[in-house]
Amino acid sequence: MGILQTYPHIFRALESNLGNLYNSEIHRCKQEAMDRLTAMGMPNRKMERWRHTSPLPFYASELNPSFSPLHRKHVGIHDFNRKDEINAHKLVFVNGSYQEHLSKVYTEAQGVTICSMNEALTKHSEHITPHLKEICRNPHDGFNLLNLAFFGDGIFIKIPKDTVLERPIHWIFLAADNARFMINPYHQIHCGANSKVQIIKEYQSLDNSELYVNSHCSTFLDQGAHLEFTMIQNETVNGFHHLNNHIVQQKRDSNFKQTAVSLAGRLLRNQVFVRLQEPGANCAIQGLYYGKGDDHVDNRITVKHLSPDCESHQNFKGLLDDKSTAVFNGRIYVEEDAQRTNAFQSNKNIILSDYATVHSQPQLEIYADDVKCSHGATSGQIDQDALFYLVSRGIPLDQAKAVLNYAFIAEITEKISLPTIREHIQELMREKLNYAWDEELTES
Amino acid sequence: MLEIKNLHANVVSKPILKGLNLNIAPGEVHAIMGPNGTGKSTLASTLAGRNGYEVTKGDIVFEGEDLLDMEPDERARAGVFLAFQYPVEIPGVTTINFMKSAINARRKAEGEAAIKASEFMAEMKKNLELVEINQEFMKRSVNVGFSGGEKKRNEIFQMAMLNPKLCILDETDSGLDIDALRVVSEGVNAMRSKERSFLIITHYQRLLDYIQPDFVHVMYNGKIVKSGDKSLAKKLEDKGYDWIKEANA
Ligand SMILES: Nc1ncnc2c1ncn2[C@@H]1O[C@H](COP(=O)(O)OP(=O)(O)O)[C@@H](O)[C@H]1O
Ligand SMILES: [Mg+2]
Repeated sequence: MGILQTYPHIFRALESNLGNLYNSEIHRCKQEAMDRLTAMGMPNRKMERWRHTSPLPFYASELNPSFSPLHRKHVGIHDFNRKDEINAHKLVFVNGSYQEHLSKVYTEAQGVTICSMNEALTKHSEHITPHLKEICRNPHDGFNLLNLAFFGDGIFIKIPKDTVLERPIHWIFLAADNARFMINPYHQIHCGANSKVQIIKEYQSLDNSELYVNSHCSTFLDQGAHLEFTMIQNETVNGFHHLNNHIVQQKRDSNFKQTAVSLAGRLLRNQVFVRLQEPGANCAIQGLYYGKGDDHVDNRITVKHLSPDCESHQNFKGLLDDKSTAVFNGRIYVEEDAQRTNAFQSNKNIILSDYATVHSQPQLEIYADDVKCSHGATSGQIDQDALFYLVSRGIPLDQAKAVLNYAFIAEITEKISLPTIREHIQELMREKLNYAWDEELTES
Repeated sequence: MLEIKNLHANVVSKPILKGLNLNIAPGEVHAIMGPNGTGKSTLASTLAGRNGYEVTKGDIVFEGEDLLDMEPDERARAGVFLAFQYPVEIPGVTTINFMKSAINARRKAEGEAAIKASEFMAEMKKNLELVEINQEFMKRSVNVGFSGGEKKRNEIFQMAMLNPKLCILDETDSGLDIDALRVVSEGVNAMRSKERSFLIITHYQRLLDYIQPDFVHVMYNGKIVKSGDKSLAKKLEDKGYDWIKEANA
């Protein structure tokens, strides 16, 4: 049986789990998504967007039909690293479902909502249904519809206007119970006018789980809002396969920064789609990646300048070793009346092995005439002159290579504003790269 | 300290060094002069062990050891230092961390403990004063955004930090204004000692007004064709290189 034929069966099993959402508007959205998916079909490799990244592993994985958000998993507080040194709200998910007993959400200013999507579906459905309908009408692709039809949990964040969140939100996504299936988390983030929010999303696998995560996040920034979103993908075993789809809509003078730190993962696709809807909005989408083995890292960024006086930056740097592959597809679209646009894009790669591959593809569509735009993609070897310079001072060759590789991608981390997060990420990178720079001196 | 015997070396399969001989004893300062493209930098790179510089014939013995048998980092730890003609910019690597690591790499190889913070800071301060560099530069990426003169001073600073036995300076004077030239020369002179030797490669006699060499060699077409004392440098300044070229045509 082809996978498209199996999805409706699994869908019916899920429907019977919907409980008090049965027959709700959300249920009807899901049904519509399922119908549309049946008509539209799932992407295949013949499509341009999937030429360099195969969706097939997702089709081979089983959809989790018994996916029930309230199911309490057998993970204790000591089974994972909650990183309490990062002073933050902790939102912990196991195999895609929210775990209240592992999480800690502090009281913030009045009107702040930080909760699971499962809870939000009953308490805040008026904020959710319109967006589900919108996605249903304009789906990105079959994965988008699949996510809508099957999602159960995720996060829901709503920050009222003029609120600066006291603590960042640390969102920890665990794979456990030797899970081997696909999950479809759905998230929504609303940042009210002039609010300020920091979110860190992190993945950990606790055993030999192999999770296929097809996630969707819709983010809304009102006038003057600031959101910094940092994602750390550092699974040691092949715990996660990601298709992350993030859609961001920005109002006047809002500020969005996303950093994707991809240090390991057999299949990672981070898709970001930003709409700069009003003047003065700006965004910085950046990422670093380090591919080893047969890791596959795909960053697919689209920034649409729909209004004048907006600014966007795309900056990605990567190291590719062994047989790893990196794909970068950066699109800048500037609408006709989006005058005085500044749009910049850069993708730089260092290739460390003869078998690693990079596909880097800028796409510019510019219809306004007063536009400052630049793009550049490079991939090359480690800088031999710099390497010799370090070695000629007595630094062993392997150490010199690690230092140069680290310095190359660490540039991206400089722009992460929270020092604890930045240092945490740099520490992870040093570990990954066997970086042993003698910065520490013994005290006298 | 250094004995180079009948050295032949290729760069990209092209013979550049063609039977070069040179002996440097401890404490001596040797200057090598010669027209552009004659192989001076090739000699420096070959001594430092750069990739792509292939020795086809001859020997180099440094402190009784076969230098050609050593990797570039081992040569550096053994006491060979090359001040580059074109110092390299290294974004993201600060000079201070670079120097700590270089010093500790040598200490580690010699089985010593890492340098103490106070000792390192004192050395650094002293050597920064020697080459008149502001301490702020230490926290910046190596050579990034430095002027030509600052880069050359940074080379001498690193040389002073690493305490080498043999200092090779490849056209450290080129592109320096008179002020920087004085600073660089004073740095070198301060480092002169009975144990430490220098090989100073230069195109012009001007540097040798500041650093008095014990020997001056003229290099042409991949070998040393004439050696003398510092009056030879004066003669080259007055007469140029044509008479050398003619005599060796
Ligand atoms: N990396 C290189 N690749 C190709 N040719 C080189 C390289 N380095 C030096 N050469 C050649 O070797 C010769 C000697 O160069 P060099 O040693 O730089 O001379 P000098 O320092 O005396 O001016 C020149 O003909 C130069 O073109
Ligand atoms: Mg030269």
